[in-house]
Amino acid sequence: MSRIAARLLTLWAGLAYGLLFAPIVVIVLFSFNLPSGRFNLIWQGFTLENWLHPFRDRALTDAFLTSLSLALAASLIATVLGGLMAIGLSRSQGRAHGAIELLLVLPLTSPEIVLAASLLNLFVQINLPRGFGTLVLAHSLFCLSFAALTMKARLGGVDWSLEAAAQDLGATPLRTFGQITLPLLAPGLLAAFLLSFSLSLDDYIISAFTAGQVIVFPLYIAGAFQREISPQIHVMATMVLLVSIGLLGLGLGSKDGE
Amino acid sequence: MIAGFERPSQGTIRLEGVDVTATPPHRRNVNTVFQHYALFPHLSVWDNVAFGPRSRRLAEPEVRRQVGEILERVRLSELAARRPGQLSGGQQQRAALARALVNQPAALLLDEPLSALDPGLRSTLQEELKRIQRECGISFLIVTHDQEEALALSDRLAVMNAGRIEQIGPPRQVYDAPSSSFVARFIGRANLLAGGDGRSQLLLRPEQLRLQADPLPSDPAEQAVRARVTAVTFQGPSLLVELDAADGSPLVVRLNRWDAMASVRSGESLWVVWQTAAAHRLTV
Repeated sequence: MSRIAARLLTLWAGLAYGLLFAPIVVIVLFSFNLPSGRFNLIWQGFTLENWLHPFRDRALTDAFLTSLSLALAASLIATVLGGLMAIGLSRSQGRAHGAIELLLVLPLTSPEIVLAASLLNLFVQINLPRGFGTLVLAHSLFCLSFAALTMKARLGGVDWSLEAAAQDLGATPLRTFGQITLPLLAPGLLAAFLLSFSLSLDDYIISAFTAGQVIVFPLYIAGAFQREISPQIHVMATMVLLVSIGLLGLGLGSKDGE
Repeated sequence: MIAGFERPSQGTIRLEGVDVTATPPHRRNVNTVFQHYALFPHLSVWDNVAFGPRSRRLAEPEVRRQVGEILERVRLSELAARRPGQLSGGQQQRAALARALVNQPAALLLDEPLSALDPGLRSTLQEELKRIQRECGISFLIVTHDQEEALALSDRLAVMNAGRIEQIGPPRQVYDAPSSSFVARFIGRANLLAGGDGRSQLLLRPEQLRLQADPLPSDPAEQAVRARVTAVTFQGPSLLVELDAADGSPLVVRLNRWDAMASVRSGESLWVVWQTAAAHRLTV
């Protein structure tokens, strides 16, 4: 390739990445803005005020905390159940194998709106009042598929003869599970948990259908465009971004260490 | 089945006179060195070896003493803090051995312990294995597909065929006086000739045969057949000569590299000679 072509390619790649990350940069930038009205959309001046009082917006903070506890509950349930499913699937060669895997993939491939509408339909039919409980149920459900499939992929590389070795060395089944099986599964469980957590945290469609009167973070932000966009929204979004980058860095770092 | 992971469909397994057929693996006084070692990747060598004693709830000072001692014996003391992934194949093998031996089992099972190693290392570790066995005084039960390894390592050798023991005895006896043609062919190379009475075969090992160009001199202690060379394989210290006897049966002769006949070529017709007394008679 000629030098000019190489430069053009670099420029093109730069543009693509720029476009991809520009909105995120704007979010971070506007967390330092000093807005004049109720809408933090036009740059006025630099301030640290928003970062000093990140929880000033009461309703926003409530929505954020609700989302965090929802994500925690749903990903715990999904990780435990999904992990058990994956272990069961990887160790047995039953005839139901294919059917179960199909059922696992189905929620991922079908449009989210279908799942959301049918869940709402179901909750109404069985007369289950919508609220935090139905949110946890719905989120656990769609996270379960991701968690189980993530675990299943990780289990491919697990050497089950290590369990036999532990038993051979006199470990009871309980000790074998605690000392050997669980540490072997830990990376997969962590991956499944983090994936479930982030999926639950930013889910809008399913939450909108199953939340009832409860307001979670994405619902609040969507609603904010009609009332008020406080700079605290940008602060919290930046916090979430920082946590994500931190976790990513941690993951890459531990991979380098091996 | 000996380790307890499989149940026999019939019969009993006795360990030091006690029936352990229904005893689960973690309560059997037997330990195993697995084919690919199955060392715990998330634990150090030290913690791998300490796993057994800790499972038996020994006091920590006692665990330290036993683990230190066995690591000394397999010469891994310096590498105790390493993870299994940071060890060479031979070191992993020794770590697996230490992890099993530290429990002082009534018997140690080794499932093809050297098959994962390259050939050069294998012979060194064969010696190492024998030394450790002598020092510990624990019975080693070794499963292998490598006949030479079986002959080199064992005090007693059992040849199994389709789940049944064909013969059991000292390695020299199994090699020199096999009880069946299966054993004769399985351990080493074998020439099986018709015994003359229709009911027996004569076994001659390739190194018991020699080649000569002239017909047999009148030595009554020797016998000979005429055969044509079909292939010559150079194997370093020796040559392997394959021939077809006059009656069509294949023969194989091992010659010393400096044998007078070492320059033999494929297609030549020669005499294959042996001491009549050297042949082992197998009843069919």
